[in-house]
Amino acid sequence: MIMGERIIIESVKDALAVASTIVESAEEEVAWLLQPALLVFCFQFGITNKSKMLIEKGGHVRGITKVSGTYLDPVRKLLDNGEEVRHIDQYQGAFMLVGDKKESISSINVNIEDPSLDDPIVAFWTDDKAYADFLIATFDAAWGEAVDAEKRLQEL
Amino acid sequence: MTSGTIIESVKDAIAVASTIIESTEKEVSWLVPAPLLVFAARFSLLEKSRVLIQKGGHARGITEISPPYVEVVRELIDIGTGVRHVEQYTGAFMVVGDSRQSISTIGVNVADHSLDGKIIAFWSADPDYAAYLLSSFDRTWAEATDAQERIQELGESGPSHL
Repeated sequence: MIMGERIIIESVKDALAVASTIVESAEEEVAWLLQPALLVFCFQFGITNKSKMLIEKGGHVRGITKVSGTYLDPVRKLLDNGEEVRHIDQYQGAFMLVGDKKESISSINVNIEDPSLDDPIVAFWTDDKAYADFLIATFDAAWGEAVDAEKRLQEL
Repeated sequence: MTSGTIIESVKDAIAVASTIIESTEKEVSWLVPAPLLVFAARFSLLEKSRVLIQKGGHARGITEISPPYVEVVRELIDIGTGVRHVEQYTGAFMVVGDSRQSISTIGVNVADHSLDGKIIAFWSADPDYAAYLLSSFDRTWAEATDAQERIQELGESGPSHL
């Protein structure tokens, strides 16, 4: 059994709201993997500001996305805020955000080409530690193979 | 009491999937990369699915059907599994038995599809987690193409594809 709370989230808007709460309550570390188009919404929902506050208090934020020509500005802003960002070439649509290796929201596939806030998705929120461990193991494997965003920006 | 277990090799993931299918009484749903279907056949998972179907159970599966995997997909159809094709397979993997037991990955770990390949999968017996996986599965299923139709398309693209 997955222990603790768990809820199925069914829209992009709700997923962003949950992600925002997770970042807000994180004290040490946030790790995220996100479709680049959704990064723009993270700015709109104040998630990026909350990440910045966490970093200013000594926390760490690491993120993986596909850095492409269309999304250079958001990635630059994240780097300016102190987030560590890496690029993966073959983004496969998964989404995850984990706070303090405990609370998480994730989805197997939110590969929406032109997402809107009302788009339906299927995401899973839980504060189960074992599930967070699984997500972090997946994140770390992707992180190990990803390219530093600064380097990617230079290439572009 | 553990809430779930991380599985770290393709071989172990197949073993867990096999156990899930074996203990399923009503329905198994899976989303699997086509190369793993070949291992599934080799490790008797198809046979276990056949036994489930013969006892009145149901099996549904989604994969990306390309010419090298038409044969294994035909075997699945022949035993009574409902199979559909997705054009742009996202890399996620899941097997859910009786809306309870599951093994799944989140799809970012680009799998080394050899038997000794590394994978990061999560085994759970939580019905809520299974409900989430099935919700994702059902959405993909609704958008997927019937396997027979896909096989026909591949045949029409030229006999060398089959």
